[in-house]
Amino acid sequence: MMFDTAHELFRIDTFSMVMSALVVFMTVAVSIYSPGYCEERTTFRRAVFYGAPWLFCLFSCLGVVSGSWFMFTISVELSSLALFFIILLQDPKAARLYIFSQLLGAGFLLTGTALLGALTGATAIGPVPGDILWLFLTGLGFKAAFPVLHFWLPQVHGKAPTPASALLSGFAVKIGVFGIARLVSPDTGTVLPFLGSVMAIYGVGQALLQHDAKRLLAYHTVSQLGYIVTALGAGTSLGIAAGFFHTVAHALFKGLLFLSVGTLEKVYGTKDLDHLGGAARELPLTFSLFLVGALAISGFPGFSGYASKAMVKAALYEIPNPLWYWALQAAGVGTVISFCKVGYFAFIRERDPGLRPHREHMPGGRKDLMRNTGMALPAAATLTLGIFPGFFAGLGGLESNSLFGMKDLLPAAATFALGISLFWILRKWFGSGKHEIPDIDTLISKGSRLSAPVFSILQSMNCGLLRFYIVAVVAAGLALMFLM
Amino acid sequence: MTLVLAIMLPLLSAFLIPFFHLARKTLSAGLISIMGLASISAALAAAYTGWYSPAVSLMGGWAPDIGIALVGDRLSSAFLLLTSIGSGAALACALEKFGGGPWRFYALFFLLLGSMNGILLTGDLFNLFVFYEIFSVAAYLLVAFSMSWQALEAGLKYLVLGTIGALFILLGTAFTFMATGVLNMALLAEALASIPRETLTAISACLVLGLTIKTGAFPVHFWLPDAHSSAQTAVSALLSGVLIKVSIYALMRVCYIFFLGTNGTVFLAITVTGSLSVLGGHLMALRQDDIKRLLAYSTVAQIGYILIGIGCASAAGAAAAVFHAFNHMLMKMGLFITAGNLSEEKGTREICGLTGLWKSHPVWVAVFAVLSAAIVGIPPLNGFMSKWFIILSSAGAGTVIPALVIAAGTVISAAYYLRILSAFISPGEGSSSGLPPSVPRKPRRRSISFAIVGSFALLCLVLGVMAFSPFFRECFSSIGQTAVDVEAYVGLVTGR
Repeated sequence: MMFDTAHELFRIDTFSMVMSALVVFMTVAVSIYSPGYCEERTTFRRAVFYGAPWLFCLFSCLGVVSGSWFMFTISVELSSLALFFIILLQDPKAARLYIFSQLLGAGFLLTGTALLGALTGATAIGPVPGDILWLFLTGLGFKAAFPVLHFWLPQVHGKAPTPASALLSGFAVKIGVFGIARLVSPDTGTVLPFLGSVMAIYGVGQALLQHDAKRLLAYHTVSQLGYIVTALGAGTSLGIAAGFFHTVAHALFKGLLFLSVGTLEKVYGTKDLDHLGGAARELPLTFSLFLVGALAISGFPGFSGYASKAMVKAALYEIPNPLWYWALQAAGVGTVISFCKVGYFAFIRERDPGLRPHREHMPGGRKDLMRNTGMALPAAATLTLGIFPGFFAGLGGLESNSLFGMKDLLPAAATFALGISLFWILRKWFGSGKHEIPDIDTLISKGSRLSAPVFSILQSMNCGLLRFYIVAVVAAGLALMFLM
Repeated sequence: MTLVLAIMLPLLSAFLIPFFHLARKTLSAGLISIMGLASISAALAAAYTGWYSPAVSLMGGWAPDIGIALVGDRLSSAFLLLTSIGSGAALACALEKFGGGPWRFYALFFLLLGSMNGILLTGDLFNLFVFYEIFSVAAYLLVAFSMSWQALEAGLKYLVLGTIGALFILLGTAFTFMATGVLNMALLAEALASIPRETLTAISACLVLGLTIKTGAFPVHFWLPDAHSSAQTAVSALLSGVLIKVSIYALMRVCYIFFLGTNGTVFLAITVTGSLSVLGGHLMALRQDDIKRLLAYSTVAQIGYILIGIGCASAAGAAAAVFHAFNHMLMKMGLFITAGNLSEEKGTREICGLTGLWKSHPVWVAVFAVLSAAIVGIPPLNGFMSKWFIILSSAGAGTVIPALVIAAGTVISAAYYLRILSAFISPGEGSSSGLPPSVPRKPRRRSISFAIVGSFALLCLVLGVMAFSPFFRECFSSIGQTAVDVEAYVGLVTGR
């Protein structure tokens, strides 16, 4: 038996429908934004730039509705391939890193799927037995940026064209989360909250040190994914619903934030926070849209991030270990600090006097209009979800009013107060020079030197000397005889 | 009778070509294509017979225990189909390039074709060795045919290492005969069950090593990169696409019939060799600058996948191995022909010199892209499907390491195929080196070659999609069943 056909081809439920709607919405927003961003010259490259997001959308939809792990993996791999092409236009190195990491993840997933088929005779999407769980978690971890496996994310998000970054952060990583949500079972109860809290804290910590705005946002993606993974780790239906709510909310506001940074990149020609500044006066509309995203990700009441984080915390009340809850609170303070940083350095303070805005991208032009329209869509959705979270709260069996109780509002206010005051104290430090802790991606590129001995052994094996070959072949024969 | 014709017609053509040459001095391409068509249709007829009504023909009417039996069953049919398609394509490419001129080339080619069909059809261990010798001699000479310095060196290496392989096969055959007194494979399947354990170990080590050397798997692959990269394009394609698969067939047949019930360690050894091949082949390919050498190392890795499939020792594994062998024939022949033509156009085989081809030869580059996507394993192309089947069957055998090795190999192969493609697409004609741009040659028309690689690329897609259909899966699992069903084979030959 090479395949099993004993599962349904598609599995369509509320979650997969929400995810499909989300990816279509994000793709529409990005497609409206793209004409304001795209500067490709040839027709072929423009076709890739505008076509690839829709290809991505198609395969992502297939992925979230598929009924078996096999179809899920294929669709997800194809959707990564679509994004690969659009990243390739801007930065071949980042594109390669992206596709290699995704292929490796797909390899783990396929291996897991094959073992699942061998063990249980079916590969229907859903929880898997504990002894092959690690294969699935590793495979999905490449997509969902688990610690260490996130090595590709900051670099790729930072270097991709902005529409691709928005889709990457908005949806591509969420497919991994979606897969994890399908995996949730009692076996995942210990590992997921741990991983999630590490991601939430680590992502924020790295984000605080970044001065490249897109790289900063990329680390926030890791951190926010940590919230989602922790919520999923609670394992209850409330936890899963909270994870989904934060998935949707994060897709919308992170897409919005990436798009606003993309605007800065186009107008000023840089996304480096050391040089930017003063954009609030020149681009008031972009600033207000950015503010929607920033307030949402920091969890300001009335925005989607607040409601979804409140729901995540409600899910965490149900599990006995308070450590996860406090880890997420701490990450929340870091989030506030780092978005104060982006807002202050990119939009408010005086910028580097050498930096002149490009005229064609200034407000009043067609490009600015397209960009702001594209950004208005997720901003509107963020506000709507923030004020009426009833649908998602209902999925978890909560009343939407219960999210606005004092036990959620007070911590949110405290987080804000603490974050803003800490930022004000530390703003000189943030503004002065570079603070870096090497992340796993630099370690990997350093560690690749370790592979040199392997290559030199291989190289010397293929030395071209016939006498060596003869000896090697006969030795292989003797070894074979001995070992058998 | 059809089985005999599949061997005799190519051998007859090989015998007649020198006479035609003596009589007419020039050979027309038409004559050679007629001979080729006749030989290939004979092979296809044998494949048809073997598929629908498995047949045995006893040479000279002697009983199987003393005479030679030719056996056509589904496994040999599948490989006959593979060699027919592959050698037909190679012959067409050679005819387009050389015309009817080099009669020695065609004589060797038909000799090779006859011996390949012989290996695929024989049911006798010593006869297998004899056909292997004909096959190898023809292959050595074809590698060295261009008589350039590299080709001669490659041919010599191939000769020496191939002879060592043949020596091991002969040694294994001799041990077998000494231990049992028969050479017919079906009778051996029964006889080997009752010989001492140590003897069986010696026999299996000799046979497996000999055949592994011929397949070019990693620790004993040394002849392969030289031979496959130094030969002419059509021959390289033939070597990588077809000749290796014949050795794969011999390995499958011998291992499944002799050792499936008697010595399970053989399959462990094959799996380990396969995994090493995947890693070693891909890592070496990553370091190559010469495009044909790179493709040759990629063949080493792909052989590894097939060996992992064989090493599962199950019907599913055998079916997956055959499917991957077939796919690899399509992909690698297509890649070799494309790469050969493009590098002849540019006058270099260095990857960094193969630039600007997207502008001048867009369709060739597109075909190359499809074929390399297939060989890397992008769904839903055939390379992905066969790798998936191999992963499935190796998981079914209860191991996880080969599957992870395959996953890692996929990433490495994506790296080097991307490198080639980005060289093809890059604008090129870089004047940074200060060298004058190479003299643009008059572009040659290669419509037959293009039709072949184009249809191979199309087949890659079609086979990949067809792999989802139940009919297709039944076909392949019946091949796998045939391969591992030793009793049916014995029954077929002995008539019991």
